[in-house]
Amino acid sequence: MKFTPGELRSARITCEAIFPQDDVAELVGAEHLEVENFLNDLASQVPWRAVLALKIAFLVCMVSPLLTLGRFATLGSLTPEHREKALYKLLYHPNYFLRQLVAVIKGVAALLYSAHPANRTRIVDTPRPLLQLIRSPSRVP
Amino acid sequence: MTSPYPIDEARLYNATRFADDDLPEGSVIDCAQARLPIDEAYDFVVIGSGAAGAVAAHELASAGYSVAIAEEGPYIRTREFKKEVGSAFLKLFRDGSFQALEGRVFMPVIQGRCVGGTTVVNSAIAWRTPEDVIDEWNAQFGLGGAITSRALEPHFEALERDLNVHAVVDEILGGNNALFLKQAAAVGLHPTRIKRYERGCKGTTQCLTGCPTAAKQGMNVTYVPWTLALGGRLFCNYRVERIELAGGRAVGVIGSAQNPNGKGTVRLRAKRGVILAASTVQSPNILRRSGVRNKHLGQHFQTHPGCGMGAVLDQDVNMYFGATQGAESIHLRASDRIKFETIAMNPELVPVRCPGLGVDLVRRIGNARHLAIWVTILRSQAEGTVSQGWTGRDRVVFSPTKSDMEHVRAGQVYLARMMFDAGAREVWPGIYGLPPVLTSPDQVKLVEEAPLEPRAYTFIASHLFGAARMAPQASGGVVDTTFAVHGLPNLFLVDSSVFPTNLGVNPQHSIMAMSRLATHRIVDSPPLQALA
Ligand SMILES: Cc1cc2nc3c(=O)[nH]c(=O)nc-3n(C[C@H](O)[C@H](O)[C@H](O)COP(=O)(O)OP(=O)(O)OC[C@H]3O[C@@H](n4cnc5c(N)ncnc54)[C@H](O)[C@@H]3O)c2cc1C
Ligand code: SF4
Repeated sequence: MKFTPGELRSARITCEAIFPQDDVAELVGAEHLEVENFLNDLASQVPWRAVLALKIAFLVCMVSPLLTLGRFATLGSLTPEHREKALYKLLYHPNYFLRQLVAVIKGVAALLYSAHPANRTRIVDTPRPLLQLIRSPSRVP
Repeated sequence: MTSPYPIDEARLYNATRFADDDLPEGSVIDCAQARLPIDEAYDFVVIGSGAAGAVAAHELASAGYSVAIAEEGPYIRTREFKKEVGSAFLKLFRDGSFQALEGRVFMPVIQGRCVGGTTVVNSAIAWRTPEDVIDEWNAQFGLGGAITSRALEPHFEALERDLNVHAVVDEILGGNNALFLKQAAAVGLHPTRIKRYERGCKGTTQCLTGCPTAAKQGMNVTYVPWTLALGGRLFCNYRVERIELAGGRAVGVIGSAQNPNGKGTVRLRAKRGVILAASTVQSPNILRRSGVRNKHLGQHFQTHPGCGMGAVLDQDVNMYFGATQGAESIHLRASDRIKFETIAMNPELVPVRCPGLGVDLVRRIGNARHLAIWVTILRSQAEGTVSQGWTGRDRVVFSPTKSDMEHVRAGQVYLARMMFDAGAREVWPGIYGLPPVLTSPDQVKLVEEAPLEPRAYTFIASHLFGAARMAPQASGGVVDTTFAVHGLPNLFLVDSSVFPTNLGVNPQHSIMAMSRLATHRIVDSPPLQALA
């Protein structure tokens, strides 16, 4: 089972919202990662059920503005901040299956994200003082 | 999946020879490459090269029998292990690690699918079977003293010698483990350093992706190569579909080569017996496909669901150095059915544990060196089932009970408290309904009052038991006390599917000791001599 070009576009939008570029953390964001190649490669090697779950997950993420913000819009049509907010609400949605779908994408995308040599070096090998976190209202459920 | 990133060549230790470098010529038949069909005969055919299978194969080969090991997965050598979790998942794990228990809660179940089985990807923790568990087996399941601590003792001793079991030493303790030892001692949990199968561990925390130095004494670098050195043969990339039965006995196994076109039959005939050791999830279904019928087959599945908790501290904890799992406490095992362990989480798995997404997630990942991750392991009371789904896949249904959830929650309360005692800036309970991030010790009471709904928690299942349990009569279980399937005197099941219950401690040592005990009983058994 393969991903369609539309699904790969949705995947990219979703992954970039989950793992944005952040210069404070000095981690390479999903916009610089080969999300499409990674997913195509993955799809050729895991059971079709897993690929199907990912397809559903990307679709649900794309319509998340409707499910979480009550807006008739796709994820891609929102500003980066609203994308993050819509997905955040989905990640902590009262419906178990909806939040599992975002968690699955987060888990799969992390395989690509943290394995990037620059990110791995930064995460594993670079002791640094604790970074302060942002707590903007949009990130609080 | 091919790694999207360059391989770190420095990790291919050119100077060192590993046990899986120098295997006897012709001892490994890679069925994905071999000329097919194959039809060969051996005294014994062992299905599965994991903890149970490798030990059984080695004992049989040591007793002078000809042995073939049938393994569904590939033989990935030490030099080929990569630290990226993604490529390890796809090469070493069943279903690329996308396998999950079905039931009330989505629970990934992780199993190795390679030569060495799950021992290639596990943390090498060694625990003898607790006496109270053995007493329970004998008292409640009518084993009549067939499995006793005394009977297992010499097997544990031999395994501990062979695999160099010892407690984590100072040099590779690491910050995550050291912190747990301190905090758990402070709350009276009597923590200890974990005893592991290990020779010269470098503390790379890469146990999950295959030990890059062969320090971990997994079956891939110990009993499998040792069996081959004794004349055994290994058929890898070979999935056994069924055991052939004729005249009330097992006469061989038949299955398919795992090559890209999915074609080619491999048949291994067994002159004396077949040893089934494909693990708790796969063995019951192999028996089913072979025509074995018993009302207990696939029933009484148990596991040890694990539930983690993360804490962010001011100091550089650096969980990326040390034994992957180096500290534990079994203080509440008997009273509350829980055990605590540390775990160093690979960088790819950190985002899964980190709350939220977006910029906050990324910054939390950036703080990974300040992370401590500890886990509650539950000796669940719930029982599940193992069956075969409509596409032929293995299907496991399991849901924790309310009392299981109470125990897990109690464990998470301990961990949250210990983490705040350690000075945590943030504690991540990972429980839906609670704030994803706790910032004050007062909030531990939220964990105390957390919902008992399993779907509020994130579990993982890696210790698997039951589904073909042992009982003296066929009316009570699938195998008898000589490990023979009832009614089939030379078909032996030696993995943890025969365990009447779960253990409350890590299972590999018990599995290997039981398999070793079984093999000694098999070799000495009069029916087997008669069949020869
Ligand atoms: C991440 C992780 C960490 C763990 N850490 C520890 C630990 O530190 N200490 C501990 O005690 N336990 C640990 N465990 C559990 C322990 O590794 C397992 O309980 C143990 O390896 C099970 O042994 P087994 O022989 O039953 O199965 P496995 O070791 O899984 O071996 C079964 C083998 O059979 C093969 N097989 C299955 N079906 C077929 C077929 N049809 N044809 C041919 N071959 C087949 C499989 O591919 C596999 O290689 C861990 C588990 C995981 C997942
Ligand atoms: S922690 Fe030790 S045993 Fe585990 S992979 Fe690293 S060197 Fe091997």
